[in-house]
Amino acid sequence: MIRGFMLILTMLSIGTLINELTDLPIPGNVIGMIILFLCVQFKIIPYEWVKDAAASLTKRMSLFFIPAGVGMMEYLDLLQDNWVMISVTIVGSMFAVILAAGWTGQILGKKDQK
Amino acid sequence: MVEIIKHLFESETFALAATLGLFLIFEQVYQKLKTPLLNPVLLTIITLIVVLIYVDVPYKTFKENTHMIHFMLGPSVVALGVLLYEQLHTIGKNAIAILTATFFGSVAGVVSVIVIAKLFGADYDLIVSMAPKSVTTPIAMGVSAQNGGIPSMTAVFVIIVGILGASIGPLVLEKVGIKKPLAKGLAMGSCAHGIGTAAAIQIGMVEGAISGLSIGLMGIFTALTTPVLLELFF
Repeated sequence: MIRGFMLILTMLSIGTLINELTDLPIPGNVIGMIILFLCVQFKIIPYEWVKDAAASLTKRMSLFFIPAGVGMMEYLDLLQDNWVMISVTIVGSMFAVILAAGWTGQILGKKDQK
Repeated sequence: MVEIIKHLFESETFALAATLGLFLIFEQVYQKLKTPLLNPVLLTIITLIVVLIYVDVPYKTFKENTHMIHFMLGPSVVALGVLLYEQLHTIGKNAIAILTATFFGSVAGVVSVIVIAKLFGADYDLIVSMAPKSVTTPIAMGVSAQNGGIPSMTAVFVIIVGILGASIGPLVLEKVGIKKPLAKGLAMGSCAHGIGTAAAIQIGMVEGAISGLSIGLMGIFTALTTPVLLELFF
């Protein structure tokens, strides 16, 4: 487990470093996620080493964004002034995503997938 | 009484305990009633905001006190890489369909936000805050911060979209004739991330697995395409 956390934190550091050193506009944690995925996929890091640590981190992940979400209290005025625009945009865009991903899957999906 | 609560929330231990405790309580309520409307994260956030405003504790204090929880966001996103590896086995012969659908989903999500919000004359930072709203929260917040948005707002938008998508997504799919389990899973995961996946699992196992896979792919594609699309439109 400790080995797993060490590896995950190392990947996060590498990802953050790449983000800082290059002009890549991709968050460091996403870069770390892609590197970790590639390392496990190509057996550079054995899956067993990171399995438990990753499971414990992702199982209750939603808890981790509560402090950031509470930060919305600083933007209540902004939210109040723009709530119509925000509601229409969010709902409209949600439909766009459902239709884009759903239709593509419906058209390209192989029949044998049960 | 207000003074006592204020004093308590100014301490790190209580702020942490209160956050964890509220989350556990709302999680229990959610487990019992199973409706996406009672999302435990959203209810915890709302409760904390109401209490903090009532007892007059500034966000800055709360943020510092709960930094330990916030810190876990970064490692948890990296850990999603392992989840992606595990879910990749569910792809089967549909790799191209899955990759294309999540790619189109991510582009549609960002472009539609930019177009609709621009029609309203919205500010750039608000548009960027909404753009990654269909992606799992920690990645969405990263994308938002990276491109000049407000991560706290993004976090809330993501949860609201998740709840909406999970509640009305299955109905929309039925109405427009999206029938294949693969396509349903793709639509649910792409639009409503983890919350949508919880709803997709209730439709079926394939839907759930594909939906789970879509979360990671949507995250990656949105992180990659958002800067390019913003560049194009601004």
